[in-house]
Amino acid sequence: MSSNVRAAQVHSIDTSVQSKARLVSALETIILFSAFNCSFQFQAAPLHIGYEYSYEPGVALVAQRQALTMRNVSSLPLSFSMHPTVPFTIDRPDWLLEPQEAVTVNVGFDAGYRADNQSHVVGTDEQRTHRTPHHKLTLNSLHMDAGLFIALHKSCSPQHPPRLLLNVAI
Amino acid sequence: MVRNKLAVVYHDNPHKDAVDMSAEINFPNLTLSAPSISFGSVLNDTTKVR
Repeated sequence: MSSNVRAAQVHSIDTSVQSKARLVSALETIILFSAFNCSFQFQAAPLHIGYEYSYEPGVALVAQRQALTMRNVSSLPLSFSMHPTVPFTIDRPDWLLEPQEAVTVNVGFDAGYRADNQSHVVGTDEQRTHRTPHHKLTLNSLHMDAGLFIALHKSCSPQHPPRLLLNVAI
Repeated sequence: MVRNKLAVVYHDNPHKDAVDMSAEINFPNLTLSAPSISFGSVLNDTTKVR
């Protein structure tokens, strides 16, 4: 290969690179976005509600109640459900909170749920909810003048650490 | 002692929160050391203590 041919090829590559560089600079855009978590603030920390019942002769056994206040500290409306298990109850299971909105739910406890009047110790019975292992929540989308559409997704699951997915389509 | 959790499940999001719940229930109850007492054979006009 002669030096003239090689020089021509180099010149051609440089031209191509410059052309791509101009193309990239023409589409250069600063993208700003926000990723939101389900941010929830409870009334007390650590999160624990305790009850105690002691029998008294002649006193009727009634359910006890405690108030639990929750506040949506995220920037998005938050829809959620609460699932108590026996012997605990709540007065309303489904909630929709606007940003910074707070609600109070009454959590009840029925000491006579076994109806055997026995002092007892019950082991931990944690409720487990199975979920889709990889769930995507679309949080924001941007439309730009050049016809470029960018969708930002937030991935959040216990099995997969949170990450941001960027889908670009022209 | 009753130990349990109040689960908070978000719609369209797999994140979960939970509030620990506990309760202690006290009734006047007895605990017996044995479910039955057997005296075996006992002679007439004698006593046996178990």
